[in-house]
Amino acid sequence: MAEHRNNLLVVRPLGAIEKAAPGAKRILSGMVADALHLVKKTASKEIAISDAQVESWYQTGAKYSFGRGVPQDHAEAVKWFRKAAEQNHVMAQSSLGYCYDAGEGVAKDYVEAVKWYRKAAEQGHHFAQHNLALCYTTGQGVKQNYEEAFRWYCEAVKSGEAKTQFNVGGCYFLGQGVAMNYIESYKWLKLAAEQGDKAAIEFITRLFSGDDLRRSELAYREFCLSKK
Amino acid sequence: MRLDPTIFVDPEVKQLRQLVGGARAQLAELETDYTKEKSRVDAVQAVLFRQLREHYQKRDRLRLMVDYRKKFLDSLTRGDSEAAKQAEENYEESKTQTDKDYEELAAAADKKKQLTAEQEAELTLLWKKLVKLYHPDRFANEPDKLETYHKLTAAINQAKDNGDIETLREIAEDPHGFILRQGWSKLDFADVEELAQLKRLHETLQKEIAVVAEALKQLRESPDYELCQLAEKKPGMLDELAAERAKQLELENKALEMQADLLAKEIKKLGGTTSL
Repeated sequence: MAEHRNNLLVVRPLGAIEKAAPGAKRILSGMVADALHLVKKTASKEIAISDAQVESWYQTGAKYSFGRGVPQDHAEAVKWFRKAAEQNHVMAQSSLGYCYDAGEGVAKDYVEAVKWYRKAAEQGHHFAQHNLALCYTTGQGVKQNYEEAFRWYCEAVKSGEAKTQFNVGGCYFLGQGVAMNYIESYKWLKLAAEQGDKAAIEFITRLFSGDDLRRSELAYREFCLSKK
Repeated sequence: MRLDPTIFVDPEVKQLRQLVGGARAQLAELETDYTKEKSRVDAVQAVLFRQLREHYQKRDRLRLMVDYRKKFLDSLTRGDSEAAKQAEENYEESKTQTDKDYEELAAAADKKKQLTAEQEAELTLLWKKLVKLYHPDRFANEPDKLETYHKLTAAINQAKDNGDIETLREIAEDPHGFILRQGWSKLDFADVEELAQLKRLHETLQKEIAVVAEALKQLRESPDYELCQLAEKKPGMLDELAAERAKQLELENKALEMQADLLAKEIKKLGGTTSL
């Protein structure tokens, strides 16, 4: 390019300031670098502050929700949960979803409930996953879809929560979102029953008997042994 | 069968002229983008410089002084008067150079003006006209015209670098008048017609496009551009930033002053004197 550099009508990468002496160039790029460094430092500090802030918003919401140290006030709880949920606080999202689901402190709205449950569920929150699955089962706030429901129950059941275990068992028993399988069904119901879940105990007593019960119990014991 | 040479030649010239036209349009667009963005980047830097110059210059002077006193003290303890003298000379020299650098930057920063919205809109039109003046090989065999051409391109480049849209406008609207007013020899900017010339023009235009595109790419990847983007996204951010930085520099300068004083005391203890 050097051979027709003199002829150029066009911009050269060097502007007036850059054409200055190398020392001047260094001064200027130093100023820019310092400024950028400061911007980045300030930005990271802001994030750190807001993390603690968001957590405190959730905690405030939780206090109002359970009436811990303050008079119980569901509307006030919703306000704080929302503030934190909008900053992607997973517990707050799940809690806000529940408020919409149950109509606590806010008008019942299943679509909103699903929206917040999903945000939390996608972040791995088991309680929200369970409730989202339930919405898919019942078709509240979202189109009924047993496959999706089963998928989310399977995620949620990793928590070891008896209610989720019961629902997984139910899916297998009814063949909802998964192929019908009594043995698998029994396994999950029994796991819930062992935790004292009354519905699971009743389910087993009423619906499993004779050969089915024996075979299922055998399989369950093998499962327990294999787990140990 | 009728043989008509003009029918045979014409399509190629016509096609080339179209290609040249397309290349000019592309060049004009790139020039416009570059001028706009460069002007913004420079304006942001100028603001930063104006607000922080004093602090930075003070810091750089103090740093040089501390550095010099350290060396001076060192040569005193070693009893090396030659080295002491050398350190003093080096210090004087660097100090003068640094002050000169700051003066130069201040002069450049004073020239920087942010283009107005209307000026930015006008740039596209201006560059469409200005790239028509682009004829690098045209005057190769006529030294006085070549000289005029170089002067003209230099004037355009300077105006562009300084965001001096008035001069760009003056040249774009009436290049002949501009040349006349400067007392330069006349230039003919009519587009060439000959096939070989057109080909050459098209090739050099392509090269130019590559040069400007690269310049634009480098600009957009530079930290200067990043700062400019940040400053434009959040109005007032630059002032806040400069104020914050000024506070930091004040602290840094105080520490440097203390260090310089301590060094001066030690030098005195050793019986040395330094006027600096």
